[in-house]
Amino acid sequence: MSDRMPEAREVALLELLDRVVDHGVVIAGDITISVADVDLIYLGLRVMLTSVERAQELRRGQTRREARA
Amino acid sequence: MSAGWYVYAIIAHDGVLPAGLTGLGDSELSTVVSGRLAAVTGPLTLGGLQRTTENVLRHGAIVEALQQRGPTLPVRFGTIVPDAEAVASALDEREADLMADLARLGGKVEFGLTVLWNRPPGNDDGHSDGSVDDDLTEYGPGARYLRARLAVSRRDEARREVARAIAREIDAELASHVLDRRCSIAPTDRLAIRAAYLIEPTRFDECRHAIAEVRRRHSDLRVLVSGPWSPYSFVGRRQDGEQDPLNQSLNDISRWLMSPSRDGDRGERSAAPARAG
Repeated sequence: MSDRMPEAREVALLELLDRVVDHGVVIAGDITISVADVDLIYLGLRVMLTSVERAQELRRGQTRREARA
Repeated sequence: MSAGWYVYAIIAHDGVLPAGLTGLGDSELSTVVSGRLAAVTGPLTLGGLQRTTENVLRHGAIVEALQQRGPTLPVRFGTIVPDAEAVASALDEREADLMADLARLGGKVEFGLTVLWNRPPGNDDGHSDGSVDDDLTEYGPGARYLRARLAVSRRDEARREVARAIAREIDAELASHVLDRRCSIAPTDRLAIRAAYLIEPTRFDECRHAIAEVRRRHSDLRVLVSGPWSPYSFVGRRQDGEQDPLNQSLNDISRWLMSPSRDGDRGERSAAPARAG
């Protein structure tokens, strides 16, 4: 099942980090420390998804080359 | 030296901490009770909070351990208040909202759904779908720019339309299992859908099976499920209403009503998930 593929585990880790850092109850919002690199997680997620995409393309390309050979 | 109180989660006033559970930096956990609520907190020494992956995961693990013991609301990572009185006053100020959230979400979990295009629709030749076929050389640079933007905008709208249809299909598949959901349609070029579904913990396997059905029908998509997690995405007010398929449908209907050339019913039904049980 694709959920068990390594990239799915990576996405799951990023999903958890995203939730813990950017969701949940905000109490005393004015005192909550601002986390300067929050956006990095989003950036990380996008880079990750892009790289998953790229890896899949490469894999498909390789499969096609093997099929032709 | 204590630099403040770190808040991990909110539980009922009579909630019990799991034995042996410690906080960030192995600090001792305690509760600060205010009315019907209690905050799970721990002392934080100066420089004790760094946003490392390890600390974020530790926060998540503590929330999860609390949730195993009873209704729990996860607090966002990095919440620090100066002292116990400030914790109590923060609870007191929001007691009604927090009690409502605790009742609604306390024993529930959420799972994440990420749907990626294998190949985003309208991306085959760079200007399909919304293409503007006229010879652009006859236009000035301003007009060319605007027409190019128009083509991209049409392509994006077509892509969102496909993503919305997939979201409705998934919602329909999950309708009997889920209590609520948050959904972003085509939040990036790569992503068709990013969503979180609120469920009873016992329903996760059924949801996975239902999504496996969707996955089988769509070899053009990659459908990833993550979780179950504490219901982080559902606390407080919803913030992504404008991206929700239901709201999108309402927007579509509004646009149709405003349209000068409406001449037929093309109203779109939204498959909002039914409440389970």
